[in-house]
Amino acid sequence: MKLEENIAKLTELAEKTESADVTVQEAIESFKQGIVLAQQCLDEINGYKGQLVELKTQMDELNNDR
Amino acid sequence: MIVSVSQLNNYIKGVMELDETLNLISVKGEVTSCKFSHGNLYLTLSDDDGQIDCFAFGDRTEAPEVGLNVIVTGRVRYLPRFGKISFLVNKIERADFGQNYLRFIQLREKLQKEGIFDLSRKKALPVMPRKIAVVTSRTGAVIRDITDVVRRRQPFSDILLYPVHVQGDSAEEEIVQGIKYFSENPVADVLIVARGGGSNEDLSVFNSESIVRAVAQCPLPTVSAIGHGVDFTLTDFAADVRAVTPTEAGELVTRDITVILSDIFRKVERLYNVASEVVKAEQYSLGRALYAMYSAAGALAEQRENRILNLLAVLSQNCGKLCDARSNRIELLLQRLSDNNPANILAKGYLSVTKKGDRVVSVKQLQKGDCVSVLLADGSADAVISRVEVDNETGRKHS
Repeated sequence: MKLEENIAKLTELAEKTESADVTVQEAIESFKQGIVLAQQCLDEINGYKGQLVELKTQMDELNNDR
Repeated sequence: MIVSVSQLNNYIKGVMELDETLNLISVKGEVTSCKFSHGNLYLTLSDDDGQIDCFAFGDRTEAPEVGLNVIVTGRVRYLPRFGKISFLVNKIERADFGQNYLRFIQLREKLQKEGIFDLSRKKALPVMPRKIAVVTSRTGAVIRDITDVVRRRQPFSDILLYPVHVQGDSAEEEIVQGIKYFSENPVADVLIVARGGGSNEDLSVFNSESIVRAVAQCPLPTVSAIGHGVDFTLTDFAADVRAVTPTEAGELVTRDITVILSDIFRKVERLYNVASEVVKAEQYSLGRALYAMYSAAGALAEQRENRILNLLAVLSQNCGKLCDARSNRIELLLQRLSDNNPANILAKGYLSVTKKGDRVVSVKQLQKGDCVSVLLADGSADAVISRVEVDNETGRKHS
């Protein structure tokens, strides 16, 4: 569930930057971490999308075999 | 002396025609068979030791009952073409019941009292018997008809024939032996006792007590097929089932395998169709389920992607806002700093005074004749205090 964990962390970072007492430095740091996490998440999702395309092909083959 | 058949027959005919007794005579006998054919009456008269065929032209409306004793009046004639004697009947008179018929009735009542014909004794025929025993003549249409039917309907069944004479002196004993053979030897599943059509005399052996008892005591289910539909013998009553014809006997003990196979094929086809429909429905459901899963997974991935991008956007926005806010704050602070810059104050015409290095912030620090340094926006100068005066409102001293 790494994807979900990273999304949760990203959410935390976004909420942190909405806080009234956050400093600019902390906000920028959070942003940097957010970019890294987002990239990881998007990479993972793209991987899943690729698997989904493959599974769809297999599913279509099963339907054609009927 | 050698003559031809025709010559002999014609001679016999001539002799008989000349005999006055044979030309008008009355004969008493028991009617053992009787039928109409083309409007003419054919009957057989019998007694214990003989029989004679009788013929009456078709001007009669009713036939005498079989079993009755009658007196027929007419003449004996010889038929050269057939080599047979026939009695041409002019008149028929009823006498009484014949001995054969009376014996038949008495035997029937006796066996009935013993319960030989009771329905409760009847056994059910087996379903699709593999071994079918038949007691009948080896030759003739009966065994052929039974065989044809069985082979057509149940080709896997065997026919076990016990050949017998079905009429004549030895018929009774042979038929009893045949039935007893199958009763005592467990080689068959069902027994058919059969003979083809014939006169009452021909069929009368099947009214004999020994055959009736043999059938009744037979442990196998028995089918009787004696004569034609209108003929009934005591054996028919003793058997478990009576068939109208030998063909029907074969049909009663068998099932039509083609019908059964057809039924089975129909049922298998129906099962196949039902199973196909079920499989199709399951395949359709599976296909839909798979597609639903695919759609859900795709939607979830989209949703997560959008969520991530939104969060990044939020982060970016928040950082932007924060930077803007901080930037504004800094500008304000800069403005304040600028406002509080001493150079800017001096540029406005204000000056800074020091006395012996100490900053002078009040006139009370000064006396007349003090030497002070004066700092202006563009330089400095030394000065001597010539007057000091305190401002009454603000407490400043004027000199």
